[in-house]
Amino acid sequence: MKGFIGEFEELVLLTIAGLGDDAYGVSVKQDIEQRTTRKISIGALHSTITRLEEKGFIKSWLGGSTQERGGRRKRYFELTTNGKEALHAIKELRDELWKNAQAKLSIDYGKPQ
Amino acid sequence: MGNHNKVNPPKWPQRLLGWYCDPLAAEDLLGDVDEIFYYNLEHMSARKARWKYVWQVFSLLFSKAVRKRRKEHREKYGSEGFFKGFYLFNSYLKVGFRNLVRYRFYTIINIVGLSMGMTVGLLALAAYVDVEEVDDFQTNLDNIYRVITHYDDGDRKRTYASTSAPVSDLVKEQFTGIEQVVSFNSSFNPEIVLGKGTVPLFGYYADQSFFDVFTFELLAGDPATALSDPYSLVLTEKAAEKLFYNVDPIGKTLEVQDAGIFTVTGIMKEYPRSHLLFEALTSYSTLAALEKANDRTFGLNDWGPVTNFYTYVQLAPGKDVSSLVNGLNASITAQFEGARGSVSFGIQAMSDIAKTDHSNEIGMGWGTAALAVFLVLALLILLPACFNYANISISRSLKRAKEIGLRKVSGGQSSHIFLQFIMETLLMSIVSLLVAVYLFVLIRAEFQSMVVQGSRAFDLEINFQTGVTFVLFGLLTGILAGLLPAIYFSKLNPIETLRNSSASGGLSKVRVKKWLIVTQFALSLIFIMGVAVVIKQYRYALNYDMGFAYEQVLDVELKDADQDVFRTEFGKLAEVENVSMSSSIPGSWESTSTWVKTEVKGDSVEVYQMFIDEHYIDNLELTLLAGENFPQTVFKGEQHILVNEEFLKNFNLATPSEALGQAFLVNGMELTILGVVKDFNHLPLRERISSFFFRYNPERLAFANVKLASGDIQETIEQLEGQWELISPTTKFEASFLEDDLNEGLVSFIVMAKVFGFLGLLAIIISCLGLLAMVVFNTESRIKEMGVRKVMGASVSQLAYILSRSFIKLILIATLIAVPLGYFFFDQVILRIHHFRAAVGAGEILISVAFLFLMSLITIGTRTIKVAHVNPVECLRDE
Repeated sequence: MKGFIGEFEELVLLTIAGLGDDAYGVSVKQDIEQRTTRKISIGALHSTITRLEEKGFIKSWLGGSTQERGGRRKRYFELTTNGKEALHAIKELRDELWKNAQAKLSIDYGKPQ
Repeated sequence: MGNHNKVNPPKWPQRLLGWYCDPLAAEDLLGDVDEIFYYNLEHMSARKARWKYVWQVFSLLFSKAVRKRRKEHREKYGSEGFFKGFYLFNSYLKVGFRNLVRYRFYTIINIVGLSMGMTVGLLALAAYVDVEEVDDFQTNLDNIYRVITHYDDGDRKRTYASTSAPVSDLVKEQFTGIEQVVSFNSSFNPEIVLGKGTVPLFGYYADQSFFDVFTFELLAGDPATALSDPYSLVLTEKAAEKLFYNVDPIGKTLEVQDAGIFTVTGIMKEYPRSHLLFEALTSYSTLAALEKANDRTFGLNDWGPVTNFYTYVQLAPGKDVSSLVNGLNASITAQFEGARGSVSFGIQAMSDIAKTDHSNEIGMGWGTAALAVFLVLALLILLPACFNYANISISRSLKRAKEIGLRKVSGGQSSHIFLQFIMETLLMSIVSLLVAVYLFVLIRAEFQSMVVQGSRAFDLEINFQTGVTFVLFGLLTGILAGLLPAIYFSKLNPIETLRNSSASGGLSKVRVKKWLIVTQFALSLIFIMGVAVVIKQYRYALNYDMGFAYEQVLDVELKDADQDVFRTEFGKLAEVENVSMSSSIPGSWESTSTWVKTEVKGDSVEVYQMFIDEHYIDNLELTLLAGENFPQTVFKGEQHILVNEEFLKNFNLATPSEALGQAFLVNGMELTILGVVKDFNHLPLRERISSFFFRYNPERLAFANVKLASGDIQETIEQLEGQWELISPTTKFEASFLEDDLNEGLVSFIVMAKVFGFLGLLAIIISCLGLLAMVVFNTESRIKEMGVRKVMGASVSQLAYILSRSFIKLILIATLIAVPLGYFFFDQVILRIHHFRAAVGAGEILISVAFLFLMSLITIGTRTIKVAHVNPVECLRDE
């Protein structure tokens, strides 16, 4: 498998995939923050995105300028085939692991303390 | 999104980011943080949003994202840091150089002014660096400390560099962590008997650990044992050369007058500048030996006096000093129980010694207070020179404004303009520095000659450290001078400058310029007054009637000559009018005093004394107010004294005649007043006349005062010398004129006059240069007005007056400020140290003011008269 994908990287990749045409820095950040209730800094996010780009999992292009950004353009992201393959690979691995571990992973909510 | 028109994110974080990485390359990232900021604004306070914004930008600043973009951007467009800066630098240098050459007149004025100001600064800096470098050659410098003594007698506190002698033993016995202790006694001033005469040396009684602790190199002899035995002697190279010629001194013996035979055990290499100052060392054990042999006491076991003994300790590296201080003070309280004031000990690092002024310093003292005053004076000279530069630059802003406007329009930023002007100033300050270093080399010998022990205290060599300091100083001066104009020019509005509105430089700037000129001239005037005042005081002292006749009196050292033989043999000479003898020379510092009591029980009073023979009163033309001179009889012990009027006052004797026959206890003898002499200056003019008496004891006479008839002095002295050969063939004839000795005491006036003169010269030149530049600029910009005035019928003198008027007013104001200040300063402060002094009179003030006006009128006149003579056609033609 080409390149190892970290937990946060997986999160970013999946979020970009989920946001579709509207995947750029701020939207990715806000989406992750809403779903996971954790605070991420824009610097950390962009570092990860840069790394993903280096690995060839995403590609980017500059959009048109917008008013609320002081006329600055947005950079949009999109998964590449490599990126999609990597996500699939990691999902398969997970599924396999889940299947193996089913019996021991059941949580018993029945007994009151 | 209602309120984000008003609230904006702070600008500086973006700038910071933009400085690190090109804003274009990070456009989307900056957009992201902006968007988050406006989003946050709707959910939290503006303050919090701003804070978050800063935080986000910083997270970007240290992120991989920005780092990568920066790298890519650089690969694409090349780095902008070094090379771009280099090209700009080159261009500034070129433009700066061209400007300096084009406006030669102003450049020369600035360079002359700045270099003069810098010269004094360099002198002060070099002296300061020299003090810093003292004792640097000591390898144990950081671990050597000296025990010092604080003494507080209730009235005033004093710190002595010396301590009681037993302190060193106490330290040795009671404290740990001490590697070595060196005890010193500074009173080793041997008179080495050599052939017919003696050679004086100075130095210390020093412990044998001396060469362990301090880094002094022995050329011959064993450092471990050189100072162990009593009566051993270590000489410096030069001292050895004085005493031995072509002979190996080691093991040779020398006779020291009144002490005994010493053996030379070591020859020391000449040492670099140190606070220790000696040419001979003898062992500390010699002190005890001398006590035994000669029945003298040095106070080796005495806690009381702290005059001649010094204790240095070398601590183990890293050892804390404070425990030693506390321990010392805890263990000495018993010794000082009955003392009059409170005594405590302190510790001083050896590296600090040169920078402090303690009483009773062991060797060299640098007078750091005087050095500080000198630094301030240097600054007082330098600052006006810097102001001149700023003044001239801003005045000429009209000429430069178009250039700057054009630069700005074609893309130059304020920071570029700023840099360009700073560069121009730096260029000039470096040229000035070179000139200043040259001047510094020229005057440094003069400076050394004015300071006591000057060449030992300050070598003033330009080494690496001073070199670096000089360059830094030059650059700093450049920045200081160039800062104001650079800021002014970088702020110029390009549109206004190109539209040719001459409104730049408002009223406030004009006023500042005027005050600068006033301050400069006031300062110059004070220096000039200093010269006049000191010269007057010098002449006053020179012509002062000291109360005795000093003309044509030659003081001959008696040495071993028989007094009676001297009298008869010298009395035979036709040129000798009179011969008398005395124990010391009047009006000099070398006078002795003693303590005198009346017979009635009472306090002792200090009285200055001189031993004379019966001819002295006549010979020096002193006046006897009552009583009579010492009788011409065979000496049978002291019986009488001749006192002065001040003595009478001190002992409450109303009239001279009443005092006759009164008896006093002097050195255990009962002496009666035989006569009263009129007050005369037995001390230098700096001191007031105190109680004084003449005593009669032939054994104490050391000088013969030979009164010569006027004639060929040279020939007379040769005759005297011939006569001396007959009386005392083994000794050298040594004599000096009383008048010369008296005038020698006035050397300090000459030094002061030189200092004031030099500083005054610099101050007035710098001020006049500044004034000249202002006048030139002013007349140049008013040349059309002058043309019109001339056409309308104004005469040359009227025009010159109109042009000069405002400047003369400034000089007048400066005079009005400086005269009272200078008067107060010299009359109340400087001259107070002299008891007999000439008051600062109108004459000196008038002369100083006249000189100032002469200088400034010449400066103003050269320009204004020239402009007033210009043919109006010349200046009006092009309109």
